Amino acid sequence: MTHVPVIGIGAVSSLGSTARQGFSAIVQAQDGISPLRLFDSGLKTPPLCAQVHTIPCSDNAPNRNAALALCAAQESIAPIEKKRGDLSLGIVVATTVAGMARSELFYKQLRLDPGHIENAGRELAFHEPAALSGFLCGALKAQGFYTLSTACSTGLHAVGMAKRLVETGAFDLCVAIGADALSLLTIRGFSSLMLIDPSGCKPFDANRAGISLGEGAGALCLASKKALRMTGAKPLAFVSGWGASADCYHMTAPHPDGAGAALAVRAALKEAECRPADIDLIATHGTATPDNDVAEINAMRSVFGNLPLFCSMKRNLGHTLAASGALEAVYSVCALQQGIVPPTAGFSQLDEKINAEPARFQRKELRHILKNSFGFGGNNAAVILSHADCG
Amino acid sequence: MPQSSFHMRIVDSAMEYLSVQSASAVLPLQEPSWSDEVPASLKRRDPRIWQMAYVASLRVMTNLPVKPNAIMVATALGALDETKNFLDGVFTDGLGSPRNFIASVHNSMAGKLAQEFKVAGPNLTLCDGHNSLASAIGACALLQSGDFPALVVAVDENIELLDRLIPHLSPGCKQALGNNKQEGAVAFMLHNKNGNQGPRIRSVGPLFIGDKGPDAACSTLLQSQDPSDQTSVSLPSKTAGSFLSVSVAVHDVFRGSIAGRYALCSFSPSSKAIAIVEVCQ
Repeated sequence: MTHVPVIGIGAVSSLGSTARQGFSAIVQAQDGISPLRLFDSGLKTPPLCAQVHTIPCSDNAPNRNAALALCAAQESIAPIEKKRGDLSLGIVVATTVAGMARSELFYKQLRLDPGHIENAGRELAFHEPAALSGFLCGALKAQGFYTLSTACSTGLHAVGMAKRLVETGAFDLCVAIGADALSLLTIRGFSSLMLIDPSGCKPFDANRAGISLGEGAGALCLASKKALRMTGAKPLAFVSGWGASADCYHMTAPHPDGAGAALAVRAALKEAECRPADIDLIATHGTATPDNDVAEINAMRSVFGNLPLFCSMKRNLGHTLAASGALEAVYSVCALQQGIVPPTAGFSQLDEKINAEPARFQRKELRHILKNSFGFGGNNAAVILSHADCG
Repeated sequence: MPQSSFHMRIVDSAMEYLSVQSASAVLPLQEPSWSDEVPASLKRRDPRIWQMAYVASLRVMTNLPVKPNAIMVATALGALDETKNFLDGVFTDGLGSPRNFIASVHNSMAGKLAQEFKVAGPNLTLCDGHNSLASAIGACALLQSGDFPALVVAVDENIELLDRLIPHLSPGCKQALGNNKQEGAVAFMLHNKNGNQGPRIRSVGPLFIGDKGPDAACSTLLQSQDPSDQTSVSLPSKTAGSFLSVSVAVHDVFRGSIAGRYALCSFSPSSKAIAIVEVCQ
């Protein structure tokens, strides 16, 4: 296995419409959540969510999710856009809601007015996850794609899959794109599970009580040696290892020991040819639900013994579902580049069940970052991102 | 234009062949008694689409000496019924059922299969419309050697709402889905060993074709490959017009022991993409 270079990154989140803006806000522990204003959730109190206020690409996209994805993807390929020539470009698209934000409005109206069915062709044209990929392929002039949907782990699996597609020679360039817009389905769904913290998420904190949902998109452009040579691009970082596993335990609750998560992390370490001691920082999934944070730390202890530095970006970005793995991988690349350990916004009090505090802001040379993402269905993803000098 | 058309020339893919150890299908329209094989506990509480995926997987594993180390699910629309039921709850009384929400995620079938069959390895769900099986096979080809054997399950369900919607969809979608209400699950057990002999499979795509005609694009793709490598046998498609067309046709090759090599071309109007699944028996 090889270390595959990342030559471009892009991110749109509640903290800004570029990767640089977003990471700068994360470093300042900026709180990205506010009362939901995008639509009426039907809940008594609008939940606190991380909403994207400005999407520069929205005029060119069929829906909000596509606009988020397009913005991030275009930013990620901007450095080499004019030098692509005949290089083949593939994309791996990660989404859970796809076009649901529009479909659910259509369905609500259809229930009230059966004649609304005449509008199905227009309103549902981008319902399918694959429709998002087709749109992005056209907009980016890409040749092929894969569309993944593994709940909250999807974005990180997309990064791993893009790595393998470049390694096998399927594409010279491959962009991993994770995107999810806020929708009624997800807000009411997580609300029905009583997993939303009314006061905003507090990862790893003793008083944490659930997640804050968010929306956004992250994209990483990976390149083959041939593409590096032909574009003259310099690696920003490397994707060194990918691990994927299943808990085989419960559809929503994590295995309390984190056994499945640990399996994914070990697989990623093996592919990256890293020892546990080589990991300088864990960018955790860190959703701030009482069970998930404990299970993740248990899993990390089983792999690492003494925990490396760790952080969570969920209070900054909200839980952006399929976008989260890609988005947080983008910011992990920024952390590697700038030698910065980001603080964990929302944390203030040690939880004795966890018995570990996330790292505070610090400048530190970072060689390898482990990024984790876990999802419904007991789905686990882990990716190792390595400094540009580690190729 | 038929949804899946069977071409004579074989695709020279970048992907390696995977050997097919077993194939099975659950197609409720043809086999109404399929649910007899669902354990009572699952039949009582689990969505129908999970049950179809479960029975197809159970059948494919029967008589095989090893269980899978990875699961790849191919689905275009996922658990439609659960999604609709959740939204109905929200719009009717303001309460969506958490059970419906959990089951509505596209990877719920893959998670359930992992849980039932204790498969702790990679667990991915590919959602590429009519090209989903090609995507899942492509994703299989990216697995590490230790991740095999891999269980690949293509599954989609039909619901009454979809029947009502199809006549009002765009001409491309309407044509692709046709009037056929086929639903079900098709499962394959794939291995990376002995990929150059016996029953085998590989895929190309999905490849974006934009507004080019899919038939022409498929022909162009196939003709750009090795023109000397040909077979003239065509295959019947029992499910033309459903998301499962190619999956069922592939299943028929392996279960029917039809000798030969075939390239099956699919087209997804929603993503304007084609894919080719190549099978050798």
